Amino acid sequence: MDFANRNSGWPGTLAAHLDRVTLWSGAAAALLFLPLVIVTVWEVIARKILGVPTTWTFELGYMLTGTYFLLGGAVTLMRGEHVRIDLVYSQFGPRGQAVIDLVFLAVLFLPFCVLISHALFDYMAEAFASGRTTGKSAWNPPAWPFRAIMFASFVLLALQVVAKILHAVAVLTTKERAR
Amino acid sequence: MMELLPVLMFVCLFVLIFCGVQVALALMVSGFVFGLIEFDFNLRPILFQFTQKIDETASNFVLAAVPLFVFMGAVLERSGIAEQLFRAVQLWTGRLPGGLAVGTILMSIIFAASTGVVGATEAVIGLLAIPPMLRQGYDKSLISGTICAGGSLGTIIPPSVVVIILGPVADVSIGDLMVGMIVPGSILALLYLVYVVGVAVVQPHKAPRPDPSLADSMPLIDKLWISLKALIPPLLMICAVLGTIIAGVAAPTEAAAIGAVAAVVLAGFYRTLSLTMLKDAGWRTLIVTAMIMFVLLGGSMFTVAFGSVGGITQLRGVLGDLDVSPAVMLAIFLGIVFVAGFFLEWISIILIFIPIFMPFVRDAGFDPVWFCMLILLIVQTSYLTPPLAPAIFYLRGIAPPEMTLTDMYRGVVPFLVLQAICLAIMAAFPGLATWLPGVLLGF
Repeated sequence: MDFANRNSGWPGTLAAHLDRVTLWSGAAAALLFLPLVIVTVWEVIARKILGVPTTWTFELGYMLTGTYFLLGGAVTLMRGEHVRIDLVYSQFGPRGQAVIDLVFLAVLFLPFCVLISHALFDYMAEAFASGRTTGKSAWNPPAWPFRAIMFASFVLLALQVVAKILHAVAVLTTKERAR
Repeated sequence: MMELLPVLMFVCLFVLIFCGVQVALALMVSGFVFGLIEFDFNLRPILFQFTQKIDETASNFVLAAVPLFVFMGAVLERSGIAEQLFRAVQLWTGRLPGGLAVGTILMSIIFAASTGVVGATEAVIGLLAIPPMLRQGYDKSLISGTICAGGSLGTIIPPSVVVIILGPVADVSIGDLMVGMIVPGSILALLYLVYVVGVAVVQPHKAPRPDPSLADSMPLIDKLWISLKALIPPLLMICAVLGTIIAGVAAPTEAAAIGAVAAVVLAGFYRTLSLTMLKDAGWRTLIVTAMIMFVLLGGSMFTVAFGSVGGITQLRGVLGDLDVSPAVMLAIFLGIVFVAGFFLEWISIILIFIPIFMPFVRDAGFDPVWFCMLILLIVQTSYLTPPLAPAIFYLRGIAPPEMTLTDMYRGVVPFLVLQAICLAIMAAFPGLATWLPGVLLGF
């Protein structure tokens, strides 16, 4: 997306590649909206008009919702749309903002993402090995696929965090060169 | 030493937020770091708690209502329905004192009842209503106040995305809240209308009447036809969404799905449906949903860690030792939320404070639905209170340069007074919040 950073060498190039991954995962998430509407409306029709409540819409519904917003997290970060209170932040120039982003993301948030991804991988592996099912409805599907999505979402988020860090580095280095 | 942790945790959160770190990420990280300290830097327990929270939040089907309502609003914004409504409403209110402002507020009410979100609605209304009001010589503060207040009605007039988040956090049924909002929402809207007409009568220079020589000569039958064409489709949609909730046919999630489908049908009716428009609305929906849900996720992580470091027990102790009457306690709670509204946006306010307040509210014997109504009114007020007044930010994004920030700040002040009046009415008569859900949903 942000091709302005092309001039700043490999960090900019790598960041652009990562941004593309984020964009595709976001597009995939956005498309999940359609099945979500269909599943939800179908449940109303099945229950109220056909008189046969389904067994699977509830679980499929929450899985679609969860996947939708978890996968959407990375693209929201990329576009800078996670809410921030910018009373102070907006007073800094692009360089100052890059420093804040860089320090927070590299020192605090990236390690957090890596650790939580690791924990989610174990969480998935445990469900896979034990053959655990969700146990939330009569459908009762295996639990691991949805956990795999949680894991994948945080990995994708971590990759976008790396991209953001690289963008911040690019901003800082480009400016220095210009001076 | 350990008693300091909960306090430090909040300090750390606020420092991060004020440096401009994304709220969702600040919540996650400060929860994580302090959880880690509490468990002697043993990663396992805090990571276990957080994985559970991710699973819980992602497995909550009620939350599907968020993207569905957001999508409904995103499609409606782009459907051209606003132009139709504005035109139709003007036909009837044009010659009233303050007619343009009255029309703007009426349009805001209809729009608020057909979408669940605030920001974009305000932009749509503002873009339509500001130019004619300026042309007719309206006072700029009055214009700003009308747009900001009207735009913020989406919070307090059902359906509202705020309620979908608030309900589960406060452990109150979303259906009860949706129905309970109808009375306070109407009172507030009525107050706005009375105020605008009042200003126009007392200070006519602030809201000049249109030139009588330009009086429209449109036959009544044409007026009726235009109005019907503009009003019937949104009213049908409002009935479809709210009606299914009230009649108990569908859960809020399902009503939201019906609303999403209805919005698309409506756009088809106004011939504005296109692939580009749907793609646009689809992206917007994803971004807004992820934004809301990540704060929700971060908030639940922060709360569970806050519990681990003993913050909740400690806070209960402090509040329990206060030894004040329940009414004073309530006033303190509302005051805290009001002050927090200066600096935080609504999701953070709800996620941080409601879980702490709710047990006290229940213990004191207050009706939880009523308490939630008061909170909603304050949350809606926080849209209008500087320095962090989202309503003013949105307005600044669309207003022509001759409307200054001072006009905007001055413009919201009278509406803040109206908020206070409405809050006082609701606080004095809890029945206003609980009566309608009792009648319609029979709990």
